[in-house]
Amino acid sequence: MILNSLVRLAHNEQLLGMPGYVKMPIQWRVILGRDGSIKRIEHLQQKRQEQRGKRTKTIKFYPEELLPQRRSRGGTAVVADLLVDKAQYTMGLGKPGDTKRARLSTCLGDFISVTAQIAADTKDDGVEAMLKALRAIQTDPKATLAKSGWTDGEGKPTPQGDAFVLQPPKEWKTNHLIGFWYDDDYVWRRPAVIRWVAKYFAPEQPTDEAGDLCLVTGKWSVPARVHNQIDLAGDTGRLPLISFNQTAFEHHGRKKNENAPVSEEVATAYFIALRRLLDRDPARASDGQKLDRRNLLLTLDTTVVYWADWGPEESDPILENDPIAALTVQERNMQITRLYSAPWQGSPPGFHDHHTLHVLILTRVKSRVILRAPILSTLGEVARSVGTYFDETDICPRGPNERDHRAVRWLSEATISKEVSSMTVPPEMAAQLFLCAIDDRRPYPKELLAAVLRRVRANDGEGISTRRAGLIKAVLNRYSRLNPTSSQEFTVSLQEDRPDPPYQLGRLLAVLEQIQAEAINDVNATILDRHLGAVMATPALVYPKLLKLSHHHISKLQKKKPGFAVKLGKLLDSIISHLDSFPPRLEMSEQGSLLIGYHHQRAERFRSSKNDQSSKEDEQ
Amino acid sequence: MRKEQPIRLWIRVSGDLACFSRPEFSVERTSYPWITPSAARGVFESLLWKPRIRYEIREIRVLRPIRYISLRRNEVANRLSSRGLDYTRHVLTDQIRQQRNTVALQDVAYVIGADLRMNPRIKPGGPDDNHGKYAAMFRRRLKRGQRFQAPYLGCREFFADVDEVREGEKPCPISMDHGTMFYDFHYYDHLPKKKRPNPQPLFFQANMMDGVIAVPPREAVLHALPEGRR
Repeated sequence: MILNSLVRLAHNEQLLGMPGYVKMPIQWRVILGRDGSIKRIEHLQQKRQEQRGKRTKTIKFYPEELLPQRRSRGGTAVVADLLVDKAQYTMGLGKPGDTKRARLSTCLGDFISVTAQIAADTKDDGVEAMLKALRAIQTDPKATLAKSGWTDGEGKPTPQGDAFVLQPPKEWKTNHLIGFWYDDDYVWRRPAVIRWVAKYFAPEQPTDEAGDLCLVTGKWSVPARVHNQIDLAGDTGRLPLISFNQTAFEHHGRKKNENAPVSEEVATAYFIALRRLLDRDPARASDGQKLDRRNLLLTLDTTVVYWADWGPEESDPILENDPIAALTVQERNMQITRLYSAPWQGSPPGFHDHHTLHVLILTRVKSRVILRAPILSTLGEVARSVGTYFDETDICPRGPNERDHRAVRWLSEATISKEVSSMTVPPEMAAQLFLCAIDDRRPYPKELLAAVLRRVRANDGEGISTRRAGLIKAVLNRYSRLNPTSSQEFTVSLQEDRPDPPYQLGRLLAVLEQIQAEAINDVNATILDRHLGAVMATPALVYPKLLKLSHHHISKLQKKKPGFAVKLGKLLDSIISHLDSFPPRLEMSEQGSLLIGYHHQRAERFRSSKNDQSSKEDEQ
Repeated sequence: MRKEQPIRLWIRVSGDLACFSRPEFSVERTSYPWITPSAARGVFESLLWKPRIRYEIREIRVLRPIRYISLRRNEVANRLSSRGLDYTRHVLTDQIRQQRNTVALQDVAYVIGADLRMNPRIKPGGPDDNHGKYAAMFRRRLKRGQRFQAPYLGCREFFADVDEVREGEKPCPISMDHGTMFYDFHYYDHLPKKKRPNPQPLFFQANMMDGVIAVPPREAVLHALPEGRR
């Protein structure tokens, strides 16, 4: 199903424009004259500026171009690629001191014969010029390349007695690709060559012997020998999505990739589609048109990719309605959140979209790709679920410039401590949170609540932050929505009359903290620092003591700010009036309630001061 | 000669967990969204199998919504060959253990209909040897709860409950065109053992309409293979 729909995506977005070509980085370019002479050789390295946090780094990189697909080169076989290859093949050049001269000349010879074949078939000027240049290199490398300025000088003679070894520039590496440029374009982009390459890579006709049923098309075809490798965040190096590297996974005498036979066309198509989805800056290969980004980083090694299915007369539905991109919201962007706000505000049209949406969560683990969950849903369902998620996690902010805490990656980091640099969000938990965001019938895992409570109790630098409170609210609200009981859902901001003792305890805590802060300037250890753990676990033991302390604080405050002392005293009394007694113990969901109450009360300070300001302005 | 009239047998299979692994993701096991005809055949054969009979799965009804669950399990990287087992052959599991992710199905229930057919290569056991007899045996064993082996859903550790079909139980009203799906293996058992090639996987187009998947007959599925490979 996944491969199937990836192939469909490749067709829908017309990603397969140039059959036989694949985007790869290229490092050097040989500029040819009309007569086949080598004018110069250019190093293609470019620089760009990138923002990494606060610093601006200069990144060196090589441009990617559409090159003819690599031919399979296994082991020690000499197989030249089409019209572009390493220096070993294009120039017969090895590292200085390389002793295998004979092999190098075989490689060059093979490259020349391939190029000659293309020249003969296409009769193209560019290819013929390239052929002339190559033959010149073959006969007299020193002279040919010296004119281009590429060789610095002579190297030491080899033990074999060769008096000559080319000395390439210091930026050159053996795996760099060298392309040939004729008359304004690369030789392999010339129209005749494009046609030749397409024919060369056209899928072979299967025979009875050399063929297999393709598990995507169901037809008898020639199976792809290798599954192409993708680049996935989390580690360097490329990996195939499909691989069989242990005997335990081989069945019925089939070796390796024979266990998942896929036709050549399907292999190319799904690979190109997957690469497009993983690209952070995707563009269509054939015409360079920019495409929308379709991936999301959940943790350092877990990526989410998503795409939709659409019919031949339609266009990509995600272009109008991209709920998953909304999950990366940064500022309190009213536009995005309004689009996905709860259904009671009137559901936007995107909520009824019936197009199938595919989502894959991929984790990179050393040398494997783990497909955590393949999700099949509709665009409308996901949009609606994201709306519910935004609604559930919404909670009043505590300061004027707070960012929107509801971005999935940001929210999942509420479960770890930023101070411990080695602590990272476990990929499974991040994946679970994401899955809950796109499927609102899925309860948040209990581990999520437990992790947040643990962090708060540990009294780390973050403390009871807005995002932690928001996460707790979401977990508890969804739980009560899926298991309706008499308890009310939590609201976005303070609910003074909420009949929920732990909630009122949290409010009380916030007020007590405020009283202490007002009474004593420059407190060394606040109530929270000392007693938070006990407050959450055994309120009956701690609160009486805290209340006694608060009497002293209030009397101190009466001397400094008598009016304020009265106000705080009244607030304190009003909260206590909601409490019959202090419970001896709080279970997990009640502790969550307490923290939400605390957050609401603290946020109320900011809200009321904001209101005071705006009412003052009104008066003026 | 009496013309063979296949009898269709029905069972209801259910379980807490199931994993019908897709061939392309059999390493990090990812399940198909519903039971494969091959696994369904396995369930039937757990109830009753004789060399004389064969089951041809024809219909699968999905009774519960499709829910995936992700599991992490330790698996062993190598196989243990049963050939020439002596005390020196061993697998040291702690050396080759790997943690692999499995994407399984949660809370599944299916109603499966299969045609009971006779194997033409095996000689009839006597004058009353007909498929009616085997069908009766099957129904009896189903009712009594008699099984040859514990029926399972894809992986041996996911036990299946097999019962008679319940009255009025409707399939889930979902429609999904899955595309190509694994049908079963072709074991080439019409050829003598020495001449048999490796089993060939077969595929069919699986299209679920309102919770029901119509599985084509084996003949039709075999047609995708070229003549020389049937």
